[in-house]
Amino acid sequence: MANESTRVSDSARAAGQPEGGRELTGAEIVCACLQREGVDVVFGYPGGAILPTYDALCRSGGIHHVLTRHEQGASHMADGYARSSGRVGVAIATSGPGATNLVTGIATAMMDSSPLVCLTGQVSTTVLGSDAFQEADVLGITMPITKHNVMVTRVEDLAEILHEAFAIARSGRPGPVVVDLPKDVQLARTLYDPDRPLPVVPVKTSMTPLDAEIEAARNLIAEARRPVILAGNGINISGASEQLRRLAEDTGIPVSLTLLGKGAFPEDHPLSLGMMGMHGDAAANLAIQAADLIIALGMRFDDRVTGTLSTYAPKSKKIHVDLDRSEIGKNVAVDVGVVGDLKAVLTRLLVGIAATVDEGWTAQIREWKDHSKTLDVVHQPCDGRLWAARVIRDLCELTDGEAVTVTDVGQHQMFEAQYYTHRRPRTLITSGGLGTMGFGLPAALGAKLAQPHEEVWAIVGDGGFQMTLAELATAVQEQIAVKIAIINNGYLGMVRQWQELFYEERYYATPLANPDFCKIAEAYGVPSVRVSQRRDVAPAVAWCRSVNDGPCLVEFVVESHDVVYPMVPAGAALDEMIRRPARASTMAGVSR
Amino acid sequence: MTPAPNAEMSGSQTSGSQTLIALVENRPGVLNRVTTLLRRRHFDLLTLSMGRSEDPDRSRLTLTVGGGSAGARRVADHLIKLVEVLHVEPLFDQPAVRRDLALIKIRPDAAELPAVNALCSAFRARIVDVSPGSTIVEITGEQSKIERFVALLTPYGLAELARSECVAMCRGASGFGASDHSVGQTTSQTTSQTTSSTSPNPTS
Ligand SMILES: Cc1ncc(C[n+]2csc(CCOP(=O)(O)OP(=O)(O)O)c2C)c(N)n1
Ligand SMILES: [Mg+2]
Repeated sequence: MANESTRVSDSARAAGQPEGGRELTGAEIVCACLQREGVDVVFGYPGGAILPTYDALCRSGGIHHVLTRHEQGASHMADGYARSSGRVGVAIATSGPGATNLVTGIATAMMDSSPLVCLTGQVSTTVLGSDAFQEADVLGITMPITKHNVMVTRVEDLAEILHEAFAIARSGRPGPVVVDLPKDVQLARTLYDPDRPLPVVPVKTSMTPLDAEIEAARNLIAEARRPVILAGNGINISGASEQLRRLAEDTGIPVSLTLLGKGAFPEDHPLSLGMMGMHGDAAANLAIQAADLIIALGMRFDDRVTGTLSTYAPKSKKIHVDLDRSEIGKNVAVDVGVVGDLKAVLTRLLVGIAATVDEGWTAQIREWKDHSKTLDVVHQPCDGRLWAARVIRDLCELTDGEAVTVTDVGQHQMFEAQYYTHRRPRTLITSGGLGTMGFGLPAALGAKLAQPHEEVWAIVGDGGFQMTLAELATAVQEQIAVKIAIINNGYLGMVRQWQELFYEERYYATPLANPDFCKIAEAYGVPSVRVSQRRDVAPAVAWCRSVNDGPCLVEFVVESHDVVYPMVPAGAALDEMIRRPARASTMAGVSR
Repeated sequence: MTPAPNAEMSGSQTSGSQTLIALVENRPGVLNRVTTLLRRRHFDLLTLSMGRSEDPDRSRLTLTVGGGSAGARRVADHLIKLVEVLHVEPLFDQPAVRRDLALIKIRPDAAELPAVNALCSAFRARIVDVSPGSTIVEITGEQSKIERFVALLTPYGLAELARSECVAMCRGASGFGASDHSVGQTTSQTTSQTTSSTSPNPTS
C-alpha cells in the first residue's frame, strides 16, 4: 500500500489535485503509516471499534496480521518481537475489553524498556464519555504504564501522531506508546501525504556528557583496586556489548550482569562474574559487597539486584552511566553520574583507560567462583532424579548456548538465568521488571517471527504456561516453529520455595493439579514428548530441534521439592545468601 | 557532574519545600499526566497551580514539593520525561517572586470592621465585597504572609478560604531556562536547540 499510495499520489499530483497526497480514510492512513515505519507484522484481535482498521489491513496487504487468542498474547508477542529484534512491536485491540486485556503486556514492556506501539479502537468521538458500548478510559488506564499515550480526535492529525508514536517508542529509553483511535476517526477521510517528513522527537536533556564527567569516571577507575562492572539491559539496548567487552579486557575488571543484562557480555568469558542479585551467583554478590568501585552501566539498581539498600556495596565508590537521568541516584547514591548513550559514553571512556586491579582481588574472585561450583547441583553425581537445573544446563550444551530463550516467571526462569550461558545480546527474553507470568509463550512467538533464523525456545513453568497456553493455537495457525519446554514441577514453584523457606512449609495455594500437557498439545495439533529421566533429555531436545515446520513441545517432569539457590532473603544484605546445602541429597524436602 | 540526590546531604537537601516551574504543551490531559506521575512516584506535592503563559500553545505550572533540593531535582528529572513537558526548572535559591492569592470570607460584627480594615491596610489586602453579615478580603503575597494574615483574621469569623497557591517567576533579565538547573527547551528556543543541567551556562 505504501507503494500504491505513492504511485497514486504521484498521479494525483499530475492530474492537478492539490499538493499533499490523496484522500484516504483514517484506517487507510493507519496502514500507510505502519508500512512507512517498516512494520511487517502486527499482533492483534479484532472487534467493532477497530474493524475499520482491520478492513483496511485486509485491503492493503503487505502487513501480516497475527491473530492471537487473547489481547494479552498480542501485547506480549509484540514485546517479544521488539526485544529480540530491537524494532518496534505493534499490537492492535478493540475498545473496552480488548484494550484492557492489553494492559499486562503494556506494563511488562514499560518496566523493561521495550518499544511497543499499541493501537486501540475507541468509541466514536461523538459518544466519548457517555459509557457507550465497550467504552473504557484507555488513556487513563494506560497513562501510568506507558512512555506516552494519545487519543487521535481529528483524522488530520492521525499520520503525524502515529509516526510520533513510533519515534517516541524507540527513541532514548524505549517504551510502549498507546494510540487510541475512535471509530469515527478511522472512518473519516483526509488528504494523506506519503512523503511528508517524519517527525523527530526533540531531545530535551543533554545526552552528551562533558569531558570532565568522563574524566572523573576514568580517574575513579584508575584509582580502584577492587572494581567490578555491573552491566544491564542498557548495554543491549544501546548495542554497546563490544565496548563493554573492551572495557573489561583493557582493564581486567570483572563483569557481572543483571537478569536483563544477560547477553551483554559473554558469560563464558574469564572476566565474567555471572548474574548478580537475589538469585545471582554468589561470586558476583560477594564481589559487589567487597568492591571498592562499582561501575554500573545501563542498569537501575533494582531491589532484586541490591538486596537491602542500606547495606549495599558499602565499601565502594560508584560510577553510574545511564541514558535516563532520573535513574541516577534514584536508589543508590553515586560519586560520578554520567547521562548518555552507553555506546557513545563507553567509546569515549575507553580512550586512555587504565586500571590496576589488585592481584589479590582477581584471586579472591576466582576462589569464590570455584567454591560456588562445589555446591552446584550440576556438578554433583546424578542421583536418578530430574532436576530443573540439569535440564537447562543440558539444553544449553545441546544448543551450544546459541538459542534465543524466552522464559516465563518463576524458578525455571532463575534456573535458566543461572544455567544457560548467553553470549550474544537479545538472546534471553524475560520479564524482569514486572515478573509477568504468562509472558513466555506469546513472547517466544513474537521473538521467532522477528528472528526466523534463530532457534527460539520458550522455557515455561507449569503454572505460567497455563495463563496463556491458548496461544498454542496461534503458533499452529501461523506455523511458528518455536520450541516449548515446560518445566513441570507440579507447583507454583517459586512461591512454594518461599513457603518452604519462610512460611514453615505451609504449601497453601501452590500445588497444581495439572492437565496432561501432552494431550493438550495434541489437541492443539502440536507434537510433543514427555521426559522424566535425565537420559531422555538429550533425545527429546534433538527431536525438538528437528521439528521446523511449526511448534513442538517437551514436558520435563522435574523434582517438585527444589529450591533456587543462592537466595538473598528479603531484608538481608546481598552477601547474606542462603546457599545450597553442600550435597544435593540433603536438599530441603528431599530424602532418599 | 551529575548530583547524587541520595548521598549524605545536609538537611535542606532532603527536607523543606522547593519551587519548580514547568512549561507544558497546552493540550487536554496534560495536567492529568503530570499528577499521575507525581502520585505514582510518591513525590511529596505540596501545591500545584496551572495557567496560561506568554505563549498560547504552552501552559505554565508552578509546583512546590517537599524533599528539599534533592526532591525537587528528582521531580524535575521525571517530569521532563513526559513528552508534553517541554521545560522544567527547580528554582532552588535563585532570586524569584513567589505569589499566592487568597480570597477570605469572614463574618465580622459591625464593631469589628475598623479592626479588620486596619489589618487589611497593614497587610496591603483589599476588601472586595461587603454584604450583610459577610466580607470578602483579597490578598496577594508570599505564602507565609498569607498564613499570618489568615490567622489574624480567623477571630473575625473565618467562613471560607480560597487560595490560588503559589505562582513564581525568577527575577532578572536572564529569566526562565537560563539557570544551571533547567532541563528542557526554553520558550525562546526552537526544538532543535536544547539546554541541560550539564552544559555550562555563560549567562549564570
Ligand atoms: C501474573 C502473575 N501472578 C502471580 C505471580 C507470582 N508468582 C511468581 S513466580 C510464581 C510461580 C510460578 O509457577 P510456575 O509457572 O509453575 O513456575 P515455577 O516457579 O514452578 O518454575 C508466582 C505465582 C506472578 N509473577 N505473575
Ligand atoms: Mg511450576
